[in-house]
Amino acid sequence: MRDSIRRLFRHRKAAVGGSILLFFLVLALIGPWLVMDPSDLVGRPHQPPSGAHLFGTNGQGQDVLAQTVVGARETLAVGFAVGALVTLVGALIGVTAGYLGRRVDDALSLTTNVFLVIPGLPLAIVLGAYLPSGPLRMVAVLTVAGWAWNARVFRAEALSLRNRDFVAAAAVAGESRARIVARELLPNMASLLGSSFIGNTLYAVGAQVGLEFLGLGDVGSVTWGTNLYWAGNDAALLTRSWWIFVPTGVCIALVGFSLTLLSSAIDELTNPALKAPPAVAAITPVTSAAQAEPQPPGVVLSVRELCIDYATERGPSRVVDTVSFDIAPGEVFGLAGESGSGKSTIGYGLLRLLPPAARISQGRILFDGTDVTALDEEALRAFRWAKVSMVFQSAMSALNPVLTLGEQFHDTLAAHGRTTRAASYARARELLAMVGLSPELVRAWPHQLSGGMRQRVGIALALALEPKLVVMDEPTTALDVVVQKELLQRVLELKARLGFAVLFITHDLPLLLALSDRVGVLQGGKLVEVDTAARLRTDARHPYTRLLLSSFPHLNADDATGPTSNVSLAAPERPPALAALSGGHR
Amino acid sequence: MSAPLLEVSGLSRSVPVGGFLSRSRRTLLKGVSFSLERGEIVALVGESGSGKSTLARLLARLDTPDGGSLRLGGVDVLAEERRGASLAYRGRVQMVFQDPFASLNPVHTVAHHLERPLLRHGRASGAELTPRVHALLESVGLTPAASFAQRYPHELSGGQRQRVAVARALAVEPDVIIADEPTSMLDVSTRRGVLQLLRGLTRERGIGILFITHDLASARHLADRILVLYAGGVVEAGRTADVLSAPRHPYTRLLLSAVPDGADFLRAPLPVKAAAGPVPPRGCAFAPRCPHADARCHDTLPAEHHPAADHVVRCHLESSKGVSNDAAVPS
Repeated sequence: MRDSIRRLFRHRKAAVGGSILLFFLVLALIGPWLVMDPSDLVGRPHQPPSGAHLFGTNGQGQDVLAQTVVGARETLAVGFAVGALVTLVGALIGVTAGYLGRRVDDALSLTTNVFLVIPGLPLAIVLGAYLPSGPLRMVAVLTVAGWAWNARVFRAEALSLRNRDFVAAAAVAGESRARIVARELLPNMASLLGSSFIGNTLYAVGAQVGLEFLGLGDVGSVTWGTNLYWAGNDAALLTRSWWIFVPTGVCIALVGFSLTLLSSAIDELTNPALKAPPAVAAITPVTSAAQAEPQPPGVVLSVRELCIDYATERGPSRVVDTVSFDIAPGEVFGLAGESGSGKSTIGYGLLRLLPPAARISQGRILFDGTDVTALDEEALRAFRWAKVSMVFQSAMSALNPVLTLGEQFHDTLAAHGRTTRAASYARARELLAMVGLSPELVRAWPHQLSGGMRQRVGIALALALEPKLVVMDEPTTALDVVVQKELLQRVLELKARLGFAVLFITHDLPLLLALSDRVGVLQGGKLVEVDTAARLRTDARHPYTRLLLSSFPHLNADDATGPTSNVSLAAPERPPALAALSGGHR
Repeated sequence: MSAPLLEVSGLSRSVPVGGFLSRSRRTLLKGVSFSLERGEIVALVGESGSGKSTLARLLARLDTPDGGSLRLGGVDVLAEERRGASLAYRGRVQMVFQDPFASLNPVHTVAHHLERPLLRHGRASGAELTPRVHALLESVGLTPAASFAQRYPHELSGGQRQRVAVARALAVEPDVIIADEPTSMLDVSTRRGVLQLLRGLTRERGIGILFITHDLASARHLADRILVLYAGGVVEAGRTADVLSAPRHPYTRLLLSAVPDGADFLRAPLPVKAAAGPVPPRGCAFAPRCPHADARCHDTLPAEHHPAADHVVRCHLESSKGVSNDAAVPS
């Protein structure tokens, strides 16, 4: 909490917005004692700015400066009061509806929707006519007219938080509902509460000024809205007395501006996705002798001393550290490692599909004699998928939910050469049959398929352009073991038939050993051991490989007691900062 | 013989599907029965959609079953506490969730997560609170406890978070812990530690653990007994060693053959037919995928068969294997 407040002060938008708002708050607080009485008739009406009256006089002969300064007090007081009330009422009703659900939700949602359908301004006008006059009337009117939208926002947030495990955990711990709402749900909405409060204050200031300008406020009070109302009534525009309404207008605009800045700053600070990633400092690549060596024959892919850095707020962080390996045509090469080991980052790096915050800082990737790290955008587009394709961990997010399977195949095929839709569909049928699916699925949507079927489609898509290498990034992690085995058997069968090589990335070492010809073990971005699967199984050399191997319980071997447990205690628990950088699963 | 610690019989649950005028329901769990003794670990295995987590949520009283009974120490708690679980039940049955990244509230410290159950259940208060929190952290291997207590969940690794979750479950001194895939989200090198922690709890404190998993290999190492769930029903149950060394149900055999173990596991074919459509309304749920299924399997639900003492299997092929097997079973 303290940390986030400190960050808020460092943020530029927040600093500018905050300073402007602070200025007006101070003005509203102490300003009225520094200026003359705004209702005194101090001079002749419609006097332009002068030494005696810095902002001139209005149509009644009152001092405009005093009116503007004094007007800030009630305008801002009512604005913040309404902002707080609307947020509070909206949050309470929304969270109650979202968390309790069922009938309570039905009743509260119906009420909310009714209030949303009634247009706010007429409601405010009608209410204003029946309530006793004064600033409290304005607060009541604007709160009644404005809470409903907030309730909707908070209900949606509560619905998504309600299904989180920590809420269930609190229920299992025996916490009461009221306490779950107050102590588990609401603190998680702190940023939403903050930005809603700012947004609602903005609404309140605007609506209040609007109503008062129309004469629906208390015209006897001094606020920015009534200043404008009197300016209109006294024909300030007709007499070209701009000094009567411009100061108030500028104040309203500045307050609105500062609130908008603050609200957008809160959004950016609490939603890291909106923030621009820190730029990676350009590193002059050092080409060592090993990197400059030409690719040996009989190798489809050579990775030479590859380093990948992530830009973080604390400077670059090396996620892949001087990794080198070769893959032969038709070979299955496995990369094993835990979260944060950099295994997925290598996979994405081979296709140059790294996120903006990451960059290849050193090393070369040679594919069939071409240096992938040196390809320009155009050449890269031709290279991806046609030469090296990828199967992703989450098949659902890799498929476009609004396109049928046939269209997705057509997209892929059309992007790499001229093809007709009919030809694409024919090829799609062929590919679907190849991975063991019905060809008629070309007309199906992704959501109609099970997880295993989607992953088969992912493999069919990866094979669409007959690449020489397919990168598979945990393609079976989300699948059941039976489906996983079916899928992998199919992959091996296709590989034998089509002759592509596979880079298989997973944390599941026993699986990798059964599947791969050779396996590389990654620890903290470094490749600590590379060997054939058969040799790793029996005599792994690196202690980390041995630790990984012993971590998986076996079904048949009688190792119920397990190897000495002090090996597992020796495993360092990685600091979360590093774990957070992992590209793949947690 | 006294009543088992936790006894479940005929537990079912279905949820409505479709819009609010639709009356169709989907069955998640049908007639599940089992018992859990003190100091015992029972593994519940099955693929996704088999009803594992549904059962966990029913036992944790987060959801209410449609039918069946749930007895804790011989008391039918569903009949006694119609308006939701009592605090006493919460104090005896605790749950460890699958995802330690979601089950701890990001805005609260580790200490807060452990203090709340202690206070709520009157297990500690005032000056004893902090020593108790530290003792709990030490009991799950998080030392120095004073430093861990002050941290927030995002400052911990996955394995550490799961240990906090176990400590929270232990705070109320429960008799039963439901562990819903407690290691599936963890890195392999930290899994073993969490599993050893659970094993130690049953030995030292006599806690009964229902260990839900999709990983037969860890079930084999941890569990005394095993229940195999398919499409919401138990197809085979028995002592872990018996079930896994001599599986009777075709589905158990299928699961075993799919565990990645050994150099040639990918070469052995899967004993299964390609999955065809939804689970049939009649007969054996596994029949459409079973390589041995005959007309009987598609028509009638197989009855419980006891091939050996403490081993239950629901399969026509097993029950028709002859009387000698059945006769050996004292019923």
